[in-house]
Amino acid sequence: MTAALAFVDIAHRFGELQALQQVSFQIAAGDILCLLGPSGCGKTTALRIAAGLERPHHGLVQINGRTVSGNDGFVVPEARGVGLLFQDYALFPHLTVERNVLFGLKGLPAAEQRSRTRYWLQRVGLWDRQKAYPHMLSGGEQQRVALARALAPQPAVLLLDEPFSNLDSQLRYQVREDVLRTIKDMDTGTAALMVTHDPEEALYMGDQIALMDKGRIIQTGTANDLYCQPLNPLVATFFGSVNRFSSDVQAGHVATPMGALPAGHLTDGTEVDVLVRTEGIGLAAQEGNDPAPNAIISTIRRLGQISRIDLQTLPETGFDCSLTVHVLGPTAYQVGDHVKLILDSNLAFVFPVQVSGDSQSD
Amino acid sequence: MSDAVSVPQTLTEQPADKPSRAGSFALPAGFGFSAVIVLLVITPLLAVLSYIGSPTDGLWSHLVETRLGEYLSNSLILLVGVSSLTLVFGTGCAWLVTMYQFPGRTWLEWLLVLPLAMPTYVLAYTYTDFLQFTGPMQTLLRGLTGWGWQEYWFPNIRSPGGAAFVLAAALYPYVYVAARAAFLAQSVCALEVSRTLGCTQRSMFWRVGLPLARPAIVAGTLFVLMESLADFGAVSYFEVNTFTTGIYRTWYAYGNPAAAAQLASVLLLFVYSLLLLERWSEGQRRFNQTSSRYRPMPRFALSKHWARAATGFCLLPLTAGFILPATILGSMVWHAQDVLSLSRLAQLTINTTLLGLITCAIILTIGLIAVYSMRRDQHPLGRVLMRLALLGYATPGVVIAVGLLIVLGAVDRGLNYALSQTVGGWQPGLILSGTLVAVVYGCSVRFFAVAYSPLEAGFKKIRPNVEDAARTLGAKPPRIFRAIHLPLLKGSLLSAALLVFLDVMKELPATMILRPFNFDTLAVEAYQLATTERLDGAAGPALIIVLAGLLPVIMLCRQLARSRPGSGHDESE
Repeated sequence: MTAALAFVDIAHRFGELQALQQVSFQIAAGDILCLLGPSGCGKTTALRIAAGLERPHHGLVQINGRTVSGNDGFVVPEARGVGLLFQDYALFPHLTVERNVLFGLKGLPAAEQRSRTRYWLQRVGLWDRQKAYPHMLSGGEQQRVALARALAPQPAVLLLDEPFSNLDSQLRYQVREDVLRTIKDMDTGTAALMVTHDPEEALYMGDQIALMDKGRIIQTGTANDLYCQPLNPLVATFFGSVNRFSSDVQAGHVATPMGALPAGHLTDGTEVDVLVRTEGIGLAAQEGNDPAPNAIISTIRRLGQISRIDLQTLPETGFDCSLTVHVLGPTAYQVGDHVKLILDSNLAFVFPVQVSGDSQSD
Repeated sequence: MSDAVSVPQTLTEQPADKPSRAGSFALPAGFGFSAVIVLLVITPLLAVLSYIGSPTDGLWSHLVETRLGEYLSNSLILLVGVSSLTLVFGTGCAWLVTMYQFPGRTWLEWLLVLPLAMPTYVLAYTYTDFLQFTGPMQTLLRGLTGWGWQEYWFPNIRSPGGAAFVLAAALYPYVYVAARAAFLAQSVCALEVSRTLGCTQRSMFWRVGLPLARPAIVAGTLFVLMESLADFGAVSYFEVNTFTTGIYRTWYAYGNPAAAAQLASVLLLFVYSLLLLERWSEGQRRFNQTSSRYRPMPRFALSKHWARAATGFCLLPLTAGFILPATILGSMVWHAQDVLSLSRLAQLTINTTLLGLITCAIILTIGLIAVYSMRRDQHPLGRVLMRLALLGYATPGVVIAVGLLIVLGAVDRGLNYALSQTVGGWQPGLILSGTLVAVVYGCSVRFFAVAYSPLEAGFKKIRPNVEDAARTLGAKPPRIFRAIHLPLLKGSLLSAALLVFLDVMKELPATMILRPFNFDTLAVEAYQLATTERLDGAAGPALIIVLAGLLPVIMLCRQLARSRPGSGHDESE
């Protein structure tokens, strides 16, 4: 099956600045791919390339198997059949809600234009505001008009540029759910490419997530892949707080205060960073001398649903470091308690120490 | 997959290997277009400057010995007089109407810009009529005192001081508008904090208000000074010799282009220095409000005594710049014995309108294309060039006119020579000089900036995302222009057209020097009648100019009334 949208080895630069390098991904029809990364990582450039608003210096862009940007030529945005949803909605301020939606339907029979506009405005619940102008709507309503306008022409690909960042947090969850359901309910197989800097949003929305940094895609996968099998420390830290130790490989294993971890294919003597998610460490109370305690609790803070516990390792472990552990709900432990640390090896990751920027890991 | 996506299955539009932006020495379209505009604008300026080293048959040294000192001292008197008057009244009125509550404040706030509708030369005619020996003022004085001819001293308006007074009365609104905008833009919080830190109401002006607004006020004042140096109508009517009248005289009376151009270069030196200062001062406007909260400015109440004083203070410049001259003008027209015939007035109005419309059409078309290509291509060099193309507005009309005469004369000579070589000795004489082409060219150079700035501002308000959204919705550039840009730019286009039209209508020296034989505009006719002591006759065309000029000023008033950030309406009245 051909992908709804495919990037093949895209590279782009602005003057001296290399904005994108070797960016490749595919989105299947009906799927959502989230491009996630810090600001300036090139994710919006990738989106603009998909829309045809930028022309990449290298690589192919294909929509439903048709090359829209590549060595053979370039299809301008108005001929691509993509829908674009902006952070600032970009509604036409001088047109009513209805005429905003009608704008992209030019060329269809008039009856079809009307029925589609009606369908989409009803779908987003704004049919009764059809004669209103954008400035008369709230932010959430404007966002829904923008969504109706983008989807009414039945684009092959919907592009979303930080679509929820202008909404306040309560509204954001609501609109996010609405948008997700609308895209998933479409029977046209519209695929979506969404750009965001918010990991939670990406985990929520994306069938696939591509994490970007400095113009490259570092890792692509499902939410679970990226959370549980990060390819490098950056990916691991992007989705939540971690404890970090330095160590080295000895006899195929890496020592930690919580015990040894298998080092995988890393050879003995390799210097490594060990990253353990804060929820990857469990605590066990000490009874007598068994199990032997390996940390002492220094502070406890309640953060609503979770408790954050800071610990100091005991000298017997051979490590002198502080650790942070998140546990669900309240905790019975008290400051000064000696505890045994239990490692969840699924949430602990070993990476060789990187000398240069390039990553080779796991 | 959807079958309704109407996408043509072709790959076209652009050659594949052309990078979209950087990495190529090929200059984008926007650059080329702005280069052409710049060339058209600066050719007359270059023509003027090209004479810097040319011999003048001794006229230049003669000028230096006899006239230059007078030009300089008169210009200096103008600069000092105009700047102090406009600073005091422009800034003072702005502070009073923004900060205090006093009788008539609501009206004065916008009435104070009305003098913008008064060309300086009209003020000059009316004040001369009012203050001359046979005028109402002196007649009244003699009636009251019984004095006779030469038995008393009376200030002569036709003097450098009088010229400074007239220019200040006409131009102070520029400072007023700039200062008012700056005072309004300052956060109430900053002012309130200053009160808690021990500032009294009055010291607040000196310690917070004025320092914050200083860059805007300085820029406004420098603009006024540029206009003063460029003034031709008032000073020439008053026979106060400055550079502009000197250039005119040197060109026409002495027939010496080189000396005229050299005088013009000296004037340009002064004007562009002021322009640079103004740009620099605008650039200094770096204070950003740290507080983004705006509340309606709470106005302080004044005691009865002080409130009257405030009303009186604000009425002074308004009376001098509008109420008095407008009344005099009206009465001149009413009592005139030597009036222009209606058909003559109609002819003048038609000529003026024709010139205005043609110039408007040309400037708006070029301006729109320029703004459009600037936006699309965003070439940094193009931007710099565009700044150069806006120089015309800072350049005195006399200088543009002289520069154009030089250029068009050369083109005519070249054409004549070429024709005489090819078409059997045929020499058609003047081809471009002294035609409508010359006047329109001159006015377009002078007023391009007037249209470009509102258009640019209007375009800036259209977010690029809106265009991108339209494109992804299938709109090609022509449709985007028609369906998105034009409707959103309607207001800017209209105000640009109005401003250009009225500036062309008021423009005196360039029109007078460049116009075709017997093509008189309202401004030219008024000037000619006034200089031949037929003030009655001048009043008619002058009144038409003032009435038409009120239109954009009223538009400006409405903008001013709404310009408070963060509050659509001013409820505190």
